[in-house]
Amino acid sequence: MSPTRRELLAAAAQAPLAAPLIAAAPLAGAAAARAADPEAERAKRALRAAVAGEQTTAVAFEAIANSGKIGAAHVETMRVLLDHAKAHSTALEDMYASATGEDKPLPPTRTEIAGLDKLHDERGALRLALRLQGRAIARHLDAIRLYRNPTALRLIAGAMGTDAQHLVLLRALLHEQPVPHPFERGA
Amino acid sequence: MGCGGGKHDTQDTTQTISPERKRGDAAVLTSLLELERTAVIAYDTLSGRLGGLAAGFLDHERHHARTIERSLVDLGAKPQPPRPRPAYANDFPPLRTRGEALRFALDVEETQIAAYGDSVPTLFTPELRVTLATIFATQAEHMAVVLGALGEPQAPRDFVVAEPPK
Repeated sequence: MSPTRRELLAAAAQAPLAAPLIAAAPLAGAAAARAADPEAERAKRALRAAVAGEQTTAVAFEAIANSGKIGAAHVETMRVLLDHAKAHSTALEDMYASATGEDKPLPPTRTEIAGLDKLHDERGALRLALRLQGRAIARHLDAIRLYRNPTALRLIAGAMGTDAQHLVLLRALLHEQPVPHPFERGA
Repeated sequence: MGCGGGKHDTQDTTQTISPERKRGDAAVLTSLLELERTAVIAYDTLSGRLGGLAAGFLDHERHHARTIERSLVDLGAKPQPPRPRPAYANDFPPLRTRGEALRFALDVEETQIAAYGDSVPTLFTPELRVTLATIFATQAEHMAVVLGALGEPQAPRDFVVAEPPK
């Protein structure tokens, strides 16, 4: 049976960032060990970027759903995407805080998301959603490359898989090919 | 490593992978290669019932299989040759209707998603993790398309692997 997300988060919290590199470091020295280890620092930045990618989609999807620029049927789709993005953000924020000992990263404001203040029509709004979702996937892939904790990797992959399904939904709304490439890399 | 599906960048990840860990990665890839070969035979079989949908996915699965074969070579392993077609197809269910064909396609995708979801975290080679993750994401997209064809929600779970909290 697959572990629940709560179990995954609990397991991730037990493992330090880039576990093979600093597993032997005492807890109090973990931050210092990371600072002295560029690879661990890169892994932390990649994880933070992955969190930011999901936070950005959550903020943007909510704004798009409430923008009045998209039809009622598409609003329903955006709300599904929004619910997933919020679940991803919460899980990844918790994992980041547990793994680094730092505060949860703050989500961006609407004004910090390029293009969100210039939504003119439905197509533009959906295009922005597609672009941000693709970017979130690309950030997950960076984290998967640099981060090594297996439990955290499973959580990131699980979020990324659902993000890829969002791309299919958004492409369909834009009348684009649903799966245009054999290797989904996001944007 | 030079995986066909991986994103190549200038990241200076100069990690040395031990021979033992390479063998571990190769064992994972060998299992996934068999799964991809099964998917190739499955979509080839399904093309009569599902037309363009199966043809597009068949092309993707062939890309995945070739990429995994190349990755095995990069790891210093020799890919096993494919088994005869019946060895993959004998266990396929009856495919008398479009609905049965779509249910089988969904089974193929769910099996692959579970396998890739389990495999990505176990790999030591960073670029290999990325390559398999890009395949995993594509399988999740295939699943969404098949679910849509079945008239079901296309993104039914917030995490495609790992259940939501109870």
